[in-house]
Amino acid sequence: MQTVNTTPRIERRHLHLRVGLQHLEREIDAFWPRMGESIAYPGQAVRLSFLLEEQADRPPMWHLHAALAAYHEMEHFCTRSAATVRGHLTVGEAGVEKRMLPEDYIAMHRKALADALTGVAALDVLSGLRLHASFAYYDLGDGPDQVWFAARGWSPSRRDDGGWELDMVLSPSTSPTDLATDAFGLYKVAHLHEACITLDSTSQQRLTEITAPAMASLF
Amino acid sequence: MSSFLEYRHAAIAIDTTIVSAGVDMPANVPARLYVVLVEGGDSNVTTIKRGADGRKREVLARRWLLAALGDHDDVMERVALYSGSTESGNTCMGTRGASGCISPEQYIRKYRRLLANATGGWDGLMPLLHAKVVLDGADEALSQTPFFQALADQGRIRPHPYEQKAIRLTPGDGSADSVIQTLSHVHAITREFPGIRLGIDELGYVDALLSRYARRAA
Repeated sequence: MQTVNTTPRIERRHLHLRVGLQHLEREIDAFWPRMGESIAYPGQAVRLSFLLEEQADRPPMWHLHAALAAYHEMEHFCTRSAATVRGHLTVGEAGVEKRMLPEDYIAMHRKALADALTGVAALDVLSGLRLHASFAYYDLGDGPDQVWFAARGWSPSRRDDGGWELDMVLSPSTSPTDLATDAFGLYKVAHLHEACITLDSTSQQRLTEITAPAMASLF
Repeated sequence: MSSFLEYRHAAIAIDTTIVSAGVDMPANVPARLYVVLVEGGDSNVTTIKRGADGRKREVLARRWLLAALGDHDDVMERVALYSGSTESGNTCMGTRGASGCISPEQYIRKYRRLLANATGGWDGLMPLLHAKVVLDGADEALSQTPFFQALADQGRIRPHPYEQKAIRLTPGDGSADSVIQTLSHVHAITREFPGIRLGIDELGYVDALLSRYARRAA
């Protein structure tokens, strides 16, 4: 049963990317066998949503949410919208944050998703990003995620509670095809059990510079 | 894949301040408690119904269900959480076809309007009298609350299929205090224990709450 996240927080900014996967059958198959055919069909894309959130007494932090289907992405924002009802989630730049109606919050992200960066512009944003993921477990050993991690030179480290931490660097020298494949990998990581993906301070600074403040007052 | 089809909606506003002095009400009970009902059913579940012409037809099964119980914000939170299912077509209005599609934004506004036009007073309470509140996964919560312990001692908490518990909303002599009191306590434990799944069975006369147009739309 879904419950409302009651942590008081402010959504400062958001950035939505849409990376097409239709030409990546071979590349996806190389890391995740037999997935290429079912994933890389015309019109298929991975949708990456970066959200800058600030909680009380903590600096603002960018988080990543990823989905394949557009409706999955919208469902995520519908769930988040429940927190706007009592003002647990507010929207806006420092000093001008406002409460929003849930339907306005959903409409804001529907518009933003429709205007998502695509193609080269989306890959430019991803290029050079340094991300940190934490998750409860993944397919160890020679599993497909591990093959992708190893190919990129990343290695998950074990936490005391049995979970995993992983630092990921999307190298600027990576080809656009590999970068798009990495976008699919990010989707896979984002959907691991209890996964949370954040950015390092340099990447956070970069995303903050290239985005505009979220404006609740427009809705 | 089936969809949940919503046909008609009704909202009841209960003024919890009208209960007599001395009735044990939970702390922080909202002054206005909403009971939001939806007439719905799955798109792949049918039943046989006899039409006005006397002939039997196979029709989609539908019944009145509890959509949400709580104050205005409780209901709107629940509706916002559910609204995502309209995006994927898991919830539709009346039909799975294009005319049944509704966006999450429209869905939330629909319920907001419903709350604004909720039926109050005795008219609103009518469908709830003698209805059955069904609680799922509430055994621990019921045993921790003195009000429900007292109900259990009186034998008013009955077992219900699938290990659920049922409480009949029985009014007292000429007074709905006990109904309002029970609903208020049910609301309080669902707030305290969000994992509890709540339903209301055996609702009566819900059609009486609807406009003549909505009654005909059945």
